[in-house]
Amino acid sequence: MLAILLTVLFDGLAYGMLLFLISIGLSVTMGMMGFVNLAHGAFAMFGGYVATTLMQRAGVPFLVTLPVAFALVALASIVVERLLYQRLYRRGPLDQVLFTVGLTFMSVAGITWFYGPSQQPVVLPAFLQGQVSLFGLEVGIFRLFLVAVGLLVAAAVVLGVERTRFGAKIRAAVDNPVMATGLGINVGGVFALTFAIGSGLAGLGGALGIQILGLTPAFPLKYLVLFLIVVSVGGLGSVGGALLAACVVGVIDMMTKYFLPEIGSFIIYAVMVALLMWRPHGLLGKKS
Amino acid sequence: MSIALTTAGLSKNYGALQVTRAVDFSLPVGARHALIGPNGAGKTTFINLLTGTVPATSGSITLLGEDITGQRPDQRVKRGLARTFQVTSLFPELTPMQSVTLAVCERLGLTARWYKRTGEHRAALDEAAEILARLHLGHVGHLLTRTLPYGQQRIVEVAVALALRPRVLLLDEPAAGIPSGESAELFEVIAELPEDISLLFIEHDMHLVSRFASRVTVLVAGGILAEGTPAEIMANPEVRTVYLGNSEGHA
Amino acid sequence: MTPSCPPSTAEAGWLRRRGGEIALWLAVPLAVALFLPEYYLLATHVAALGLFALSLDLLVGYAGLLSLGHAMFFGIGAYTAGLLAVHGWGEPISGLLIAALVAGLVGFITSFAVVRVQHLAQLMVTLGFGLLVFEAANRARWLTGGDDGLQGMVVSPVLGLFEFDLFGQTAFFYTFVVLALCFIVATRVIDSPFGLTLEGLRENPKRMAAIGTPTAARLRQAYVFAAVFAGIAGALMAQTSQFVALETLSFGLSAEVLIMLLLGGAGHRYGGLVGAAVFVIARDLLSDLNPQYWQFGVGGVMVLVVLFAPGGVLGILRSLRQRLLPVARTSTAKAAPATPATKGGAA
Ligand SMILES: Nc1ncnc2c1ncn2[C@@H]1O[C@H](COP(=O)(O)OP(=O)(O)O)[C@@H](O)[C@H]1O
Ligand SMILES: [Mg+2]
Repeated sequence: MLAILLTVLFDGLAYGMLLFLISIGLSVTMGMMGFVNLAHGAFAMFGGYVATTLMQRAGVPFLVTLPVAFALVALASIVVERLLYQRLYRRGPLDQVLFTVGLTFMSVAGITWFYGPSQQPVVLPAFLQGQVSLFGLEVGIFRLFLVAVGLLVAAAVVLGVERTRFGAKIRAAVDNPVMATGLGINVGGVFALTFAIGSGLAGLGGALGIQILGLTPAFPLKYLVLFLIVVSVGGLGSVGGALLAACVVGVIDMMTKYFLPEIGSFIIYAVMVALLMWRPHGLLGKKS
Repeated sequence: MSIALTTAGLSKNYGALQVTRAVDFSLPVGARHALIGPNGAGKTTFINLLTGTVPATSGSITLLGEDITGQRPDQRVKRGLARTFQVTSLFPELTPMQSVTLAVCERLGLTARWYKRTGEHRAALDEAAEILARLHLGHVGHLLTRTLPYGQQRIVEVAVALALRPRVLLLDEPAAGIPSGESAELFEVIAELPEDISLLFIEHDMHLVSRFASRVTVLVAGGILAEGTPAEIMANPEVRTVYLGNSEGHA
Repeated sequence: MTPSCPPSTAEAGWLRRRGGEIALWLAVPLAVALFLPEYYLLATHVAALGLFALSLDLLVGYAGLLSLGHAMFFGIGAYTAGLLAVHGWGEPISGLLIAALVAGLVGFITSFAVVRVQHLAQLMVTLGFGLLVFEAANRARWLTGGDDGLQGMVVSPVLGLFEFDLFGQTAFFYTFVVLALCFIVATRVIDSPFGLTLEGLRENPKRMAAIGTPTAARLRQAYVFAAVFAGIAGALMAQTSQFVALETLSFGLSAEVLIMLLLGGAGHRYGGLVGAAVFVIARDLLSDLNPQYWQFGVGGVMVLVVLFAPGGVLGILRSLRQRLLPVARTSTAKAAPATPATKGGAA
């Protein structure tokens, strides 16, 4: 029983890492520009389809598809941001919500058109398959890999934001865009690059998550709520908050699916509402 | 002379930063009181504390004999405290007539009423129109606020506050952003305020301060440096070095 | 003494202004009955969803409170009316009132949580409540029929006189009359000091607090109004189709009603009605279309409308009229904003 509990817990953590990878960009960019981007899941989906397409059509190895997914999605997102999103920063949340939901609908329909509605397969390399024994616990190697990648990315993002010049600019732009502009920071440029990195990470998460999250054209709508929960419960713009919230959401979701399938998603939504009542700006949100 | 507003040991900290330091202040009924001090001295914060826009860290505020320290901003307004904002804070897509009507309706306790048209509340409309006319805004009352010139928007700020018939009125740099030659109209409005309104206003221009204020408080680094008549303040050597010394350009 | 101020002139020209409107409200049902009786069902859907969109407009367009879970109230109204009719309470008008009451009660209870938070958290709380109620209805099969929907409603004749017929004639006129009554009430609300207060809250909540408005209480009041109207809309849908689908509670419907509002024009009394008509008619005309095309088209239209016509159909009409009749000064001045933008509070 304890072994099952620990296994589910670990699976939940791995799942949470995927949620973190996909949501972190949304959290930072939403915190920065206050732009409600409900199309974020579409970027993750594109990453997934880039990976499967490369694997199936060109025989590219799984691990190689990951950086490609990151880079292609990042590039595509810069175009979307400069061409479209940028025009809507001064609009109200209603326009932003409807615009990005519109984009999501278009991507869902477009992907269905090209790939059909069915689940995309993924073949993991042999060395990522199977189980290993970790402190007496049998865990999936791939899940272990996911946790490692998630923690690495979290560490890289934290170091990048806290220790680099670019990170300092991001922090300035998040804290006070007007003052940052006054200090000579090109807030628009900083934002475009941050947006690209965040979207790229979502693409990476989408590619890594094909096996666990599944990959169908409905992906952006199916997981949108979970990404938003991670962002809001973690606190806008907080890397640590997003990591914490993603783990909590991943573990709770996995636990309820395993032990209380009858109640379904009830618990996760109830927990979200309760947490937001308790801390309206999120667990580690800055403004209060 | 009776007292309209007092603070005792009023303080505000942002983390380690002390923005307001144990301020003991009192405003007599009918006063014309100016609050001056260099940029960042904490003048706006002091007004925010009085109105409850920002919660105090410690200390107390008494309005017309009642402790209002724990009250919400809207509750303080109901007890006679009104303000304007240094950075224009109006209703861009409403007209001045609608904005002032809104304030009048709120004072008359009508804003929860949904079953009668605003147009049927004649008294409220007439009063709003009268305020606009008195402030020379009658001819722009029907235009969207965001389309008005900046100077007129500053007067709408005052009009909305006056519609609340405050006992104590706090004006945060009412002429902020208006070229000094063009603020005459605004100060004319202030000069004509009913005598029983107690007025506290923030203003940088010492000429205007000595014309319109009978007393002045100098705030520096969140604490009161000096208080007195305009003449006393201008003669105070400490004030001259700390404040007037580095803002001669204003005078 | 102030001839140029709109609220004063509003009184004098009331009949002149409302006269055309009243004619329109009489002409539409007549036209449907005379020329398009085969579209009773469609027109009933437009009327019910139009009322639903109008209820959301009170929140989104007027008060500036964006909800992603408004279908909750539509669904609660529908299930309340539906369950009453399944369990022997078939009288439609009392069913409607009870549905309104239940939706309003749920709105009142949840409003405390909704106005406690802002921005993203507010979106998430409205979304969260919507999802919770959806999940609850989905799991409570014994009561709601789960995803098979609620079946077996028996609805009595309206006023004991008009039986719900196969052509949907009674259903249409019943829905249309209720819509008209609700529209009159909503117009009152919008034209009242309370309605003006909501616009003030949309424009600048900080200033509203500074003029003494208990902002949370007013927003809660608006939320309850919106819940009541949405509940009536849902009950109408249930009674006229004698069936309640689980989708009436879904996030998808919450999104659709926002789309209707976008298409028609938020912050305008007729925005929701026009948007519902455009959306429902388009969906009906294109129902043979491959669903991917429909989804792509809806997405594309949303993107284009936000970018180029943020006032929706009514916004387009308004700017056309202004171009054709340059001297429409009063109406320009009173025009509602194209879209409710939240103004960032100046630091
Ligand atoms: N929300 C806040 N957080 C941190 N510091 C603040 C905040 N608001 C104001 N301050 C600081 O308080 C000080 C006083 O500000 P303010 O009251 O606006 O001064 P004044 O109106 O006299 O120019 C400034 O140093 C300002 O940076
Ligand atoms: Mg100031």
